[in-house]
Amino acid sequence: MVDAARQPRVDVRAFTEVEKVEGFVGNFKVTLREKAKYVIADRCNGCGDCARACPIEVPNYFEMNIAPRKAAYVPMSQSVPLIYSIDLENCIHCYKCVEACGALEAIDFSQEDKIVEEDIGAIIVATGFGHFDPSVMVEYGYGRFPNVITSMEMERLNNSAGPTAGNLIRPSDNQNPQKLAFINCVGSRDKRYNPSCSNFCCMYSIKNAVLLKQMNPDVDITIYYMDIRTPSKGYEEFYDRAREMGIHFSQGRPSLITEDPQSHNLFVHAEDVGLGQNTIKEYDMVMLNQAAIPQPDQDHMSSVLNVAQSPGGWFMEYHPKLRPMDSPTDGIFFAGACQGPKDIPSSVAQGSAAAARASRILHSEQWEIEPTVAVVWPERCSATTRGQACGICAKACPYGAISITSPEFPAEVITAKCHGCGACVAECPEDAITQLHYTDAQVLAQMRALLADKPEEKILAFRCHWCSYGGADLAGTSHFEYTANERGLRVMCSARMDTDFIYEAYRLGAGAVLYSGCHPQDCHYITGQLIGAKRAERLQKMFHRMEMTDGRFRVEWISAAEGDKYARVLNEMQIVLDNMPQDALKAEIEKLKPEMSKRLKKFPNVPGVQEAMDYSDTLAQAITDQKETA
Amino acid sequence: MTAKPKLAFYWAASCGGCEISVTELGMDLVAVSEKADIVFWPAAMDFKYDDVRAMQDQEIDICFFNGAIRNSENEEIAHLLRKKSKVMVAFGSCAHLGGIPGLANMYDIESLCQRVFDTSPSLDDSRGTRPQTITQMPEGEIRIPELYDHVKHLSDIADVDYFMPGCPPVVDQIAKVFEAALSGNLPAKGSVIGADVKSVCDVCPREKGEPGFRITEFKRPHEVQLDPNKCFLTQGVICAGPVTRAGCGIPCLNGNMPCRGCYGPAEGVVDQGAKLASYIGALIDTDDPEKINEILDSIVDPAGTFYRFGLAHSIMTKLKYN
Amino acid sequence: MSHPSMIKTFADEVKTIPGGEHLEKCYACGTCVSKCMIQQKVDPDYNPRRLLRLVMEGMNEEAFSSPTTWMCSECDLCYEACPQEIHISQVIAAVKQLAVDAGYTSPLTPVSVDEDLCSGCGICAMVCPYEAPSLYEKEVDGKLDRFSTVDANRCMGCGTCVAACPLGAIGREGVSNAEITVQLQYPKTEPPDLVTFICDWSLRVDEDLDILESYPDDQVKVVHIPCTGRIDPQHALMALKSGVKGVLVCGCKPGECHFKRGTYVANCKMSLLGTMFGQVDLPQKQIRFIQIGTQDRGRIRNEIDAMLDTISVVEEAIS
Repeated sequence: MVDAARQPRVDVRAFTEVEKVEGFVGNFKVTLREKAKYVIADRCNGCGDCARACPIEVPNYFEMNIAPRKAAYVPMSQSVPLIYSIDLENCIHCYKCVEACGALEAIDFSQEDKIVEEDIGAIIVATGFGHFDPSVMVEYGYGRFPNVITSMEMERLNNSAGPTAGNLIRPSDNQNPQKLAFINCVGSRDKRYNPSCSNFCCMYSIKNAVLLKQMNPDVDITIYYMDIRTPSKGYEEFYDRAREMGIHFSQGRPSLITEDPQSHNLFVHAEDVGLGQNTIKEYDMVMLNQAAIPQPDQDHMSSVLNVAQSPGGWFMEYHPKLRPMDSPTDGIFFAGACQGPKDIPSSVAQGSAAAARASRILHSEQWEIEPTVAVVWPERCSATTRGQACGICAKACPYGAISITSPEFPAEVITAKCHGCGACVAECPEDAITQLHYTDAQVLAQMRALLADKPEEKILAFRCHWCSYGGADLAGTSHFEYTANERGLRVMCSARMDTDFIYEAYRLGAGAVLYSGCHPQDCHYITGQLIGAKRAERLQKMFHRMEMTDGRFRVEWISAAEGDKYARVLNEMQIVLDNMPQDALKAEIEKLKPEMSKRLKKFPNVPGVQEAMDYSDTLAQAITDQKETA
Repeated sequence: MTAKPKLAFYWAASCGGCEISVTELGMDLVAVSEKADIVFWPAAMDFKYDDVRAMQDQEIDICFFNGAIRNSENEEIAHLLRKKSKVMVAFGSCAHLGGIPGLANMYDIESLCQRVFDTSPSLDDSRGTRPQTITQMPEGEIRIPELYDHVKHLSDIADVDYFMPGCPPVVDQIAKVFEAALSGNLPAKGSVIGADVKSVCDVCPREKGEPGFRITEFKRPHEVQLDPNKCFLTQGVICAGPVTRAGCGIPCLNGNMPCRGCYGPAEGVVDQGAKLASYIGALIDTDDPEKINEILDSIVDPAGTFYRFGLAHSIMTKLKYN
Repeated sequence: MSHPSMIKTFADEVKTIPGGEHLEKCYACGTCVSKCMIQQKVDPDYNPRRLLRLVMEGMNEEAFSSPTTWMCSECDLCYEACPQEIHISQVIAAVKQLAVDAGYTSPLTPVSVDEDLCSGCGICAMVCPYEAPSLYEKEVDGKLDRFSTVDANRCMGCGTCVAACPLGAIGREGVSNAEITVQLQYPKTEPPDLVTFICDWSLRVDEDLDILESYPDDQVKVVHIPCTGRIDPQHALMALKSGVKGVLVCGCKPGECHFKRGTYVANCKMSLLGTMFGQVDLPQKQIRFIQIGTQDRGRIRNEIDAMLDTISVVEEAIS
């Protein structure tokens, strides 16, 4: 960190918050709040005289609040940059620090927060993780029993730079504990709190145990675990070493800690799964290996950066296997645990990858994007036809890529921000937006071809590119049998599945229609699936009112890994059709046709294939123009 | 021909209802008087204490003593009648358990007197009057019976042969007891007579609660439209039927009012009120622990309700005054 | 899963019963086993984790005869603790139902009804946490009469019905009125200062039981009851009448009652008794109900000492 700060081309802004991120890849405008330190950075030499003079002591967050710091302070001794700040919330304005600073005159109580705006080409997010607060798990007594501590507290207590200079003592009586228990998975792998595995805690508790054992071979350490997970290189060997050192591993998740009120010794109640017996063992001290959780302000950062969150709250990557360091927004990258709990080697690898990715942007003159972007047909936009832009497209866009500068001007797509989900295209009531390569005309032409012959026997399956299409693909490659009457049609996202497509499918006489896409949290386009799902729900209700036979319209969220589900859903839909007498099915199709035609609002406006192709030349030109202005 | 058996009736601290119940025998009472001589019955006939005092010991065959022991006169006559009678029957709830007068055991004498002589709404003002056992008058000393600090029941102070419960004992049971007494068919000494063994529920025809039924709010009878076919408990109304001896012929239940417990504890019940608390407490809906206190608070006057007739007879009274 | 053709294994069968469906979420961490007190206090072979394995492995006969199937009292301490949020007691209940269907019977001793005493009031049926008793009618001397009858496979033996039965008509060995009252009479010795009715489940660890036993019998008399649902206010009064100076009733913390509602029921009864003590102007401090939690190791000593102090103060005030 010190090295990084010394690099002339690295600008470290400590004590600074990101307030706003605008623009797009290569052209971000980032608003920063540089918080007032009440110390002039250029003058402070980090001598610490102010802190020594300061009479106020408050709990030191960096020391997990088990040691004090002053109101004039640096967060830790290795702080970079080494500039002190005054904690005004606790300052009593005695100005002893000013006196101590003397001729340097570095202390300035008149400072205010500064708002600065920077042009940024790429953003790497490395905000780390937060810690689960085990006091909510009353069974472990954290916060009530003094000798129950967290792993982070242990980290400070056995650190030679920590408040006890590495002398491990227990809080109740400052004695060195001889018998310790570590409890793994506190708040992780626990559906009540955080269902996922925190990834690094197995190794972490083994590391702490080995450290303590090295310092004092006489300490007796038991690690309570459910499973020990050592999947990386050298990890299993480390686990072996720990056992050879005499560290006890006891399989069984403790259900309860009780405390002797006199000695403050602790009793860990757990089943020894190997024995199948309940054990109650006495310890001097218990360490809870608390779960890694997203930072408390991760939700806020997610909306500032406009990046999605995975289940559990971590930032969501572009692709879990292929692009784990990329956010879904071009030009924003992730490094480390903000994207999901990971250990040091993985964090370093991801950080390096993110840096490489970012530097690619900084060194590019041009930036290639997917060609399936949305474009506005300005003469059709309600701003042109009625003088009032409706703004539905802008609201639908998960990326904020559509700008409506004023109601009189047609909506405009910022192409560099557009990821091509097609939500705006499907939502536009004026049919004034189209998506290159997935124009209405192209989709409708495919539908007509697929339903040309005996449409009542066909099941038209709309699949999203990223998930259900992959699911169908997997069903095929896995040789899962499903009905031959399925006719698949791909769009980029369920958000692109226009109501008109569905009406048209039934108007053309389709036997059944599947509306499929990603699971809600898996959507490739941040919130695209939510838009698609809302629309699908409306359609379902409407078809129910139309008394369409249940199962002729089906909505399913199928991931790329669920080939079996894709096959099952299609087969179930086939059963629905098989169970309907042919005459009845045909009669129902005919009965609903007029209603479908009536609802097809856009249909008359949809250009034919030729017209669309002509138009796309105009659009391509428009995009080129836009690029030049950008 | 042997002499007719001699009967005596006496009225201590009570309302007199028991004696009215006896007169309700009507022509049957006439039949009784043909078979037996009533030698003492201050409420209905002109006898004096001295007449009794003049009798020989055990001259009376059966004495029906009703009313609780509230003052020294009650006790004196109880002892007197005991001495003069072969068989002593505690007749009615007050003699049996202390009855309604026994509820006074919740209070001390001074607060009772305050209520009666000072703060009663029917009093215009208070002159601080208190009954004095001895009052000096120009004509001489006036004595009235001494008020005891608490109400006792008959067997607290005298050896009782039989207990006949009820407030009042119902006419049918009185007739049966007279018949048994006159024909010499009384059971072993110490028995409860004129009543059944099991509880009121045994004879109550109402539909009982389903398994798992719990009470979510207690109501008093006037606060709810009562279904005449359903157990009162299932309607949230406290009923003493489960702990109370049957034998009354359930006039209250037939009148769509819950049992108040006048026939006293059924066989197997030690302390009527505590046992009532035991099943009422267990019936409270405990599914929502937050609401439990609210439900408990909806029970108005637990001691007065659970021990309506039995407070003087209860362990509570024993604990307080021993 | 509801389609009969889908039920192929024993686990499938268990999963069709409401509550049984979460069976397979178990990852065998053992939390349930150590949270539950039955293995520790009653039967070393009691093990919910293992029962779930028996079901998953299709070992139905072993599951049906396992003590776990029969002894679970649905206190749900394990459900609160289970990191997989498996409603274990419901899974066990599902297995139990299949066991009953297959003709297996509970090894526990149920309460039984003495029809000579039973008046058919139905209170036992209403108060039972397990709905084990119910009323039935039969002809006696030409008349239909109501009696209570107990489903032996449902009764868990808490004694809540025994305490609630007005006439002492329901009971079993170990919880009968006679067995308790005999402990509250002191014809030959001085009565102790304090009688403690202790729910055997409220003291989590043996050390706490040792504390309880460490008081001399003439100072603190301990009456063990299976659950504070068994507490009968009559017994508290009888103890005081015999000369005891205080009665302490000790049950489980709310939410931790071994028999679902016993501790709440006891709270209701003791509150009512306390209110009546207040009304009659008896010292309310003489009777106390406490609820001890699984983490309150050592608290029983403080409570008893405090109670002994209280009664000596009360005694001074009286004398």
